[in-house]
Amino acid sequence: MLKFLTQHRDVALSGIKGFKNQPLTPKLFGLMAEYTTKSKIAHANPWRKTGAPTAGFPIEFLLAFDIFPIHPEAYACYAGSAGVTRSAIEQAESMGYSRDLCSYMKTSIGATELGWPCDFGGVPKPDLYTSANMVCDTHVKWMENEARRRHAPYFGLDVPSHVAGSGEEELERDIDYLVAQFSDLVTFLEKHTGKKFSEEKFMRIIAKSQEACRLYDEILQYRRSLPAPQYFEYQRLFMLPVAVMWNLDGCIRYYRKTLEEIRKRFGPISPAASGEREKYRLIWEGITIWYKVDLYYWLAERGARFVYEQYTESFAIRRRQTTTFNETLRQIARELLLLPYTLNLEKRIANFERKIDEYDIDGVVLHANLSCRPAAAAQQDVKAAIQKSRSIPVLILSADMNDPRSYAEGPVRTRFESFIEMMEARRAGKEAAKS
Amino acid sequence: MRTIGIDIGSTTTKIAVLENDQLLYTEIVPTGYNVDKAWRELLAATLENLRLRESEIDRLVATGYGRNSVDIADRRITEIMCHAAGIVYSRPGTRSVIDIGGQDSKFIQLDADGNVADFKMNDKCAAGTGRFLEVMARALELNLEDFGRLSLVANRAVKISSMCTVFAESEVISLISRGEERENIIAGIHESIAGRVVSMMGRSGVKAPVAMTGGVARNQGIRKALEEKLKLNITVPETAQVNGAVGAAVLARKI
Repeated sequence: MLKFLTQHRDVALSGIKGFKNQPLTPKLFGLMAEYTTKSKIAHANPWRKTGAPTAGFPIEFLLAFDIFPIHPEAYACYAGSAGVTRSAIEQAESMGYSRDLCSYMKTSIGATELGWPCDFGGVPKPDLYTSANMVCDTHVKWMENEARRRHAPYFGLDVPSHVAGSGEEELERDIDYLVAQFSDLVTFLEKHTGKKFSEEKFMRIIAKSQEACRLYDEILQYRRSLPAPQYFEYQRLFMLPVAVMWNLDGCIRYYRKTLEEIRKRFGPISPAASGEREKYRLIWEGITIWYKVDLYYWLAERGARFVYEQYTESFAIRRRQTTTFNETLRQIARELLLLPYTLNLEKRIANFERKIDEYDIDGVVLHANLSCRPAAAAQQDVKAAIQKSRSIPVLILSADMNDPRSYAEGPVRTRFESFIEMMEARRAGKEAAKS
Repeated sequence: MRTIGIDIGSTTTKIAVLENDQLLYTEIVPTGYNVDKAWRELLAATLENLRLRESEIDRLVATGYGRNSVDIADRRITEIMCHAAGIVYSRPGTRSVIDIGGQDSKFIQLDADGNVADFKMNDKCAAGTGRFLEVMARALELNLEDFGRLSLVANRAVKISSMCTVFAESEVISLISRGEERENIIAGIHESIAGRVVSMMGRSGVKAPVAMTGGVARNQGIRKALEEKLKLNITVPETAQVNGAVGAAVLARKI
């Protein structure tokens, strides 16, 4: 870190400014710092194995082998929040990675190449790489390529798409397929750690991750309240402990305490107003724009707050309690197959409509993320369906989650101002009709 | 009531003065590099021409990309709302508006009551905008008026495949060196822009009547290419280029 601070002083100073601009509580800032510090300690410890999984990979398998999870995507998000991704991305592009590729991947590769610490996107060399492809095709090649470049073993879970028209029979078949791969994964981990898999230990870890997810999910449910207790600019950082699971006991303690505080303030979960409702309650679909927290602040000044995101909700994956080992494996497989992001179009639209009603939503923003084209697919269909069934404004915003070169401040703000004017006009029309 | 709308675009700044629903005055000047100077001088000249004092203006609304620089505005409203209000004023009943300005192109869907139902804008790229046409006209050594007119006598439209303004310019230069007729190249450029705008619009959302506004609406070739692609007639109001300013003046009456 000291070497980084001296060699990349400008990046470090700019990054500190970026971190300070985040809506962090001292506790959440402490947790973020703890994760990167523990990552560095785990990497430096010759007796501790580290593994690099992609987002959504069932980390509990790694934890069952005492493998510390170092998440390239989480570190890339740190760099995004710090606002220092541009030079890392350009570094990766100078190595031959195309401008069209994922900016998390390029941030990660570029920052690592530049020798930046994980607080700024760099990835200390892990002992193994793992990926799962249910939300991202790039995950597979990214991890496979990094494993090749850094001479580490790699395991990829192949998660089939549960497409429109497929029912329970196909789902059960896909679950069988994934459960068989879990067995291969265990063999892979046994080989590279020299340890035997313990079902008992795995089940203890699963019980904790289920508890963490349930607590996190209940906190998310409270965002149906008027006003909501948390908004997206905070939520995107608040999800870190459950997204990376480096310390499940600490994660449970943190979410339990947060939930207690929210319960005390709001009582039982209810959409009934407990205070002043936000002027505009919004849904954000897609990955956040990490380097532009100011956009969320600017919207907040205009009364527009994001109270629901599939993105943050998808990390509450392990909500359903299981008791037996076989049941648990099948449930993990089911959860991988049926993430909100993997739903087919009809189910995605139905999910949006349900959330719009549950969260009392005034408008929806669909982030057409240039780094994540599959996630942006069918957004026009989603938009048309929502506008038809719920008659609320829907904005498709073209930007990139981690590459500031794909963000144009003026046009973005003009689009949001028009979007707000539409919500305002809709509200005025409804009020005029009432009177 | 006397209201003023000022629309500060990337290329031109427009002003419109309304008095009791009657359009009294419009004017267009180049924006230049100093946005502040552009609108202040335009406003001063307008008041002088109409022999009015600033205190005799009831309300002023600013729009366009430079709207935030108008510190005396009673309100700043986006181009989307102003273009919608402008077209409802000049062509009531319009359901779709295509506005192509210097740096952006927009598609605005209106409901039966003239409210904005949806909008789309081009993203971070000058392809399909007035700036693109300016670059192409320069490459072909034509002024914009001749550029629009010449395409109408083309016997075919040459395919321009590049969407990037710079690459398209190189493509046009290589077509010239191959001896391709200038009017056929222009027709191809118009088709390329029309294709880009229509794909942004999404065919399902386009409802007739369709109107076109913005500086590029003066280009008959673009309008013809858009009509052919949409298979719909497009009307261009006389106030097409000042439509945003007219809309701003209309909305100023309502605030």
